Amino acid sequence: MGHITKLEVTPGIYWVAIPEADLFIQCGCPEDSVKHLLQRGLIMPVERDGCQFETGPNAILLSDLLLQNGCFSNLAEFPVLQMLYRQGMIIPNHPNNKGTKPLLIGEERQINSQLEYIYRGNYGLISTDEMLAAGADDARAEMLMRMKLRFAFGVFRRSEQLLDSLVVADERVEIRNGVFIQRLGVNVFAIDYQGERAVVDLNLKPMQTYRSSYPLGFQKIQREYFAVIHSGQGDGWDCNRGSMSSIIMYQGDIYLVDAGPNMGYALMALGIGINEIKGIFHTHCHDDHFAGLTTLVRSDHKIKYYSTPLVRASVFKKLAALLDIDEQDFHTYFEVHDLEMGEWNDIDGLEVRPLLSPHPVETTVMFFRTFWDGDYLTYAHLADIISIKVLQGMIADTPQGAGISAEFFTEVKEIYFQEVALKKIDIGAGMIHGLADDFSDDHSGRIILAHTALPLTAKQKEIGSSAPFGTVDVLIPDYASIIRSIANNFLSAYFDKVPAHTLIKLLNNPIAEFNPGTILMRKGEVNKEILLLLTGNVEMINQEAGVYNLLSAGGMIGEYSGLHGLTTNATYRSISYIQALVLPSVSYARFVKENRMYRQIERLHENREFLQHTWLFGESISPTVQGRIAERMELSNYYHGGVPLERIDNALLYLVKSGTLARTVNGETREVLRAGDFFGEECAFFGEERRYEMVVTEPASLYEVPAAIFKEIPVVLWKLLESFQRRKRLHG
Amino acid sequence: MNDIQIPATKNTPEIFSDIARQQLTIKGEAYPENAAQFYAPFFNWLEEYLATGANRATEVTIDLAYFNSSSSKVLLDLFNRLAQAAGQGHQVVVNWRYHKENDMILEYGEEFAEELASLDFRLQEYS
Repeated sequence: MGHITKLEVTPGIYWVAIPEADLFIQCGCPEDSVKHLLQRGLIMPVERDGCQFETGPNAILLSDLLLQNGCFSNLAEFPVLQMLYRQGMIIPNHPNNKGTKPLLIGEERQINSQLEYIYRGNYGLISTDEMLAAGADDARAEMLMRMKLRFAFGVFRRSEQLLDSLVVADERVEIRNGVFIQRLGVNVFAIDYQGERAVVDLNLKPMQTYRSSYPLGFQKIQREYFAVIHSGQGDGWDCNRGSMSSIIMYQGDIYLVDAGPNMGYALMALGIGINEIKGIFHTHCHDDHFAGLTTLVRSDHKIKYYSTPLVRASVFKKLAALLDIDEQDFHTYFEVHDLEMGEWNDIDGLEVRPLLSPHPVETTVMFFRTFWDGDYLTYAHLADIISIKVLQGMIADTPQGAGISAEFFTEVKEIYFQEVALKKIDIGAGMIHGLADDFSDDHSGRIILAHTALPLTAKQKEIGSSAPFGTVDVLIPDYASIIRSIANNFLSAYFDKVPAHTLIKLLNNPIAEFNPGTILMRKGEVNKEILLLLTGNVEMINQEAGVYNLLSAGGMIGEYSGLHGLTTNATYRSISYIQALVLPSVSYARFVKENRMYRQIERLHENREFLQHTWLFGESISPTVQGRIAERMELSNYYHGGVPLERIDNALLYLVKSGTLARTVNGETREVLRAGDFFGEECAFFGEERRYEMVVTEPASLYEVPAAIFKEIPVVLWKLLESFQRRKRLHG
Repeated sequence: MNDIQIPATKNTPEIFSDIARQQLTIKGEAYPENAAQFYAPFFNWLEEYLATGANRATEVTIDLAYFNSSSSKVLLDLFNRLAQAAGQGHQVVVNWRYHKENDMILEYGEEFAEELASLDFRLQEYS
């Protein structure tokens, strides 16, 4: 005994080591899994034969499910890179190169999906045809291809050439050296060796999410006219910090520049609710800039996605591979806007200029500017860049050879060293990242050094500043009370028929700030005030009823109870710094009655309350969007048990309000649905045929909702996608 | 067949019949958690009642001080069933009782009366 060591690294990730069989399996690979292994000492720097490298896993067991609780479950890109390069498994003559390749273990579909996603992560677009299809002209496509081939040492290698794979179907199979694996259920596996067994369960519990490997403190961020919040200074290997990213505030709007892992956690710590985000500017498709896209999907409106068409095409292809969806499905979740490369693009007053940066995948650095007080103020976000020395070495000997032209080399240097008010640079060094030293003569107003896991050297400290998480560089302060404008926008959207001079009665109330963890309203108490959430996040808890939901900016807290002088049916608690407009309940009730909205609120209350208490609609849905759904819900009652539903309309989504239904196939019950559950998504949203019957087993009430109204609500569509894929996996 | 007798609770109405007098009454407040389940025994009883006597004259009294939107759908289901029975020869009168200060119940009654023109729907105010 004692052959197998198993430990839970963090929810969703296990480590199973069988040293005798030379097998070290990382079970589960959600975002930042490498950082978790680093934190636990399961990846360590070592030196052998004078060579420094890292230890770590040599196999990855994939999740059977693509998504769990809204997050990607399989992101093997960085774990694979760690095995290939940081452990040295692929490096010629490396002491750790023993002739075996890293191994992917799992369902065939998941392995294929990961192989394609890793391929796209390594190279982005892989032919001039793909570049032309993305809008590049012949010359640009040709130039890009030559540059990328240089990064790829002359050839794009399929992932299958770099990795081994082992399909785990229903049978017990040997991994290697007498170690066997068997699936016991969805996402539950037994690993056997010499009579010993370790069982790993990669399923997340309901409401559980993958954790960050590093803690982030709460930050109180004031909304500014033009400012940059530093949301990440590290890189994909920095287990103590988030990957390089920024958040731009402009005239009250919030834009992300890239979305790396743990984006949701970072936004929470910064007190930014998902519904506050207007758009994302995307530099490229590597996971440390990409994994957080799932966070942005969990919004009640389509967040605007800004990139050049080349970057967008590479991102679409990677995401499509990862999620087993069509590339065009990206438009389902984001409002896509192309940026013109090399030009200043006007984004509601904020000007943005993307410029090509040499990197193994399609990448742009971004310059953001606005005119103020006689001059442009510019923020340059330089991720990911390359050192001048390496770039110079890439100049090709012949015009057709792999590499870059001398002209492009000069062009890139000019881009990198433009003097601006604020510049954040990648100093990750090595073969594909930048060097701080290159910027020693850059006279920009302030240079921030980022994209590194290492502490800054004395020399680097002379060149640039640090920007710890949550620090803010204000380029233009707020003199116009942006927070009041935000409140006005929410109220105008909610009371869209009320004239402005009447609305100001509500607006002319105090705005209060609350610390994270503050109980705002307690279940069972009468609330004398109604809160309109302006920034940050609030959780709604009713433990007895099993309700836990999240409110983002625009959420109305205690509206119905305040209106009627009733007790609240949930406890509301801030989970970040928040700001809220405080509306006295009595004044609010008078306002509602004066504007003849009482009946409307009363009529929709039951529908709204139902929505708030469901998993599908309980997260980040603002009152305006909630009202839109509530308006279209039709209730049907089924008083007799044991009866199949006569008709299921393919254009409707069905929500179980009460009672019990069985999802049956050939008379066999596959799933029991209760209050809050739903069905019909496979036809209404994913174009599949229905292969089941619904049988009312106990008298039930069902809401029928036209599927078309959800087409602009990404968080609902995202959850439907997860449920659809899970049901397909579980029930066929 | 037996009369139906469902006692009132905090959030469900009293439902009772008097078959001999051909009367059916729903009275109280109606906002049950699970409307379909609560009303299921009543609808089962109603089917039996309508099946056992052809061309009956039935007086249905709805005397609710408050009901939620789930219950309004249940009432609509009830009225639709009664309208169907009326079409098959039953004589049905619906008495919709409302307190003179309860505008909401009156408005609902007016809406039902308009929607169910084939039923003899009578609004009855009390103070």
